[in-house]
Amino acid sequence: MDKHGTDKILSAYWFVILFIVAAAVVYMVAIFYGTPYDIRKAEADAMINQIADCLTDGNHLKDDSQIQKIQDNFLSECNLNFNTEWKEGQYYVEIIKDDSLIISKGNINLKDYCDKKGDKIPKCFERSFYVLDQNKNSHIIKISVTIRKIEKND
Amino acid sequence: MINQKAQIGETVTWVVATIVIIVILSFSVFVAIPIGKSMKFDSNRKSDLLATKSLTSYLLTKEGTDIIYNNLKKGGELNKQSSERIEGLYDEEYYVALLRVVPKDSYSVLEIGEEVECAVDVFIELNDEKDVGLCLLWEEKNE
Repeated sequence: MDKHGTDKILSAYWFVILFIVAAAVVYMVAIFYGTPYDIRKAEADAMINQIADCLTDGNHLKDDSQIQKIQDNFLSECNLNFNTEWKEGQYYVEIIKDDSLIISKGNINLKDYCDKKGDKIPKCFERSFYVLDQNKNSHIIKISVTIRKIEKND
Repeated sequence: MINQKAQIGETVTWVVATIVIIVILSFSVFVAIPIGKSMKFDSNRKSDLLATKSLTSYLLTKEGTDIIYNNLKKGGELNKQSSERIEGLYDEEYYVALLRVVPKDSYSVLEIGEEVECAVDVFIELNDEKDVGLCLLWEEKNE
């Protein structure tokens, strides 16, 4: 009789242990893979490359009329889409050619965070490249991209 | 009495086993937490479109009577001022940016205090013996 009682207790005990082990494994997996990756740098790199390709024709900067067209209709000309699931604009792009601003698009308020430091703020990325125009004059193009997406990287 | 001893022995085994299981699990959880938090998405580039554009445009720039590419091909040397301008574009982002004319196929290993391999490099062939390339090394803070 006693033996049967012990067996029952041990069976319950066994299930408790099994549950603890399963819960710990689930918790470890959640901890290990649950933290969101901040891919804003990769996103900004892809966007900067796309913009650089959009502004140039091979190794030359597009001519003034084409640049004007891009200025007028930046998103569609460069095949970019700034729409997100959030109402507030998540992107800001600024293009500077030889120290003069030629394109500014998106949520300009994000620019204010560029000189601030912290984890839960929009991230700013800036890259430059050297290029020749159609008349072989050299230019430095600076592309700045700011990405908000704070909620996704909380 | 004999039965009781057997029951106590079995229970002690289970208690010890439980403690061992809990210790191992706790250790695994405490190890997983910092590793999970330290995991980051590696967004460092293996190639660099802008560096490629800059280098090719630089080589197409006219210097003297001919473009830089042809001057280098003929055995000329890089103009320090103009090459530093290109390197300067990558100074903030990379630990070091070096624009050099080097013997063919040897550019990936450079002497910068010690032998290092470029994280990103862009080569353009000048002739059978020489390449011109831009070597970029990541700064530690970008990791």
